[in-house]
Amino acid sequence: MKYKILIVDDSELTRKIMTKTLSMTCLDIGEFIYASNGREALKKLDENWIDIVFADINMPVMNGIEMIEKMHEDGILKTVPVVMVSTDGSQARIEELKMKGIRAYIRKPFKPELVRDVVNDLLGEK
Amino acid sequence: MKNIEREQINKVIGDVFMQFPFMFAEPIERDEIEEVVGPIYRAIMVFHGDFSGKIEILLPKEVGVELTKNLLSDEFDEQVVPEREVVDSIKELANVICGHSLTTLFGEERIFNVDPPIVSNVTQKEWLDSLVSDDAFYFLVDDTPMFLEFKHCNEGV
Ligand SMILES: [Mg+2]
Repeated sequence: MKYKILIVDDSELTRKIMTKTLSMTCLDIGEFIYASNGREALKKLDENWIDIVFADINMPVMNGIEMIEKMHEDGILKTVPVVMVSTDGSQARIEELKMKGIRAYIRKPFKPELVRDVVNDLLGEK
Repeated sequence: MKNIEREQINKVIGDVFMQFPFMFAEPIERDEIEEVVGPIYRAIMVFHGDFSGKIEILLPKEVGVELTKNLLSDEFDEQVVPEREVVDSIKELANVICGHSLTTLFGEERIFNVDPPIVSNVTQKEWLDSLVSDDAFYFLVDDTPMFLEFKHCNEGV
């Protein structure tokens, strides 16, 4: 099964880095879809069947936390795994995010192997 | 700034440059800094929390261009790197440096809120003027000088 991956970040550069990193892995990726804030991401989630979301926290219009809160109000969207990607290393902040419903946290900078393991962990056949 | 903090920051910068854009950043003394030609950028990051303060980074455009090329490899091999991409790369670098400096200095149990980085151009005079601060760190990044200043106080904001 080819994965459809949604990358949500207000920085075009970060979206490119994320795409490049994911492309360097052996993951079977069918399509990348992009959004520059939470609201745009919700629209993309509505229009597409997304397997996994990689999202930034700080974004204008709607940040990553508000986005995940909105996703959890929807019976279907709340089943789509969200991986938060940020430079923050605070364990307290990461715990807070996990309580909100994120499935994994990746701290920047990251290696392709870590991203691959996270995807396999969340989507891989058990 | 205490010596131990200086060592920690030097390590953070070295590690970040090594892991992120695969560049080599080596701490140097102020008097080893040579004149810089061409445009210079400044990135400022302000943080709030149990400690509040700011991180200021000054770096020649040359470093920013190299940074962008390394981050996006293949995309700009032989071409001129657009200004916007350079500014975005500097913002991303500042974000990573700030995130890692905060946990290294204050531990993983504290929560900080960091404002988005602000990047602007500085003049040669501003570059020279900033080189006198006692809180400053100096690095050679792939043979080009870079300046970083870290200021914090104990009061939360
Ligand atoms: Mg952002």
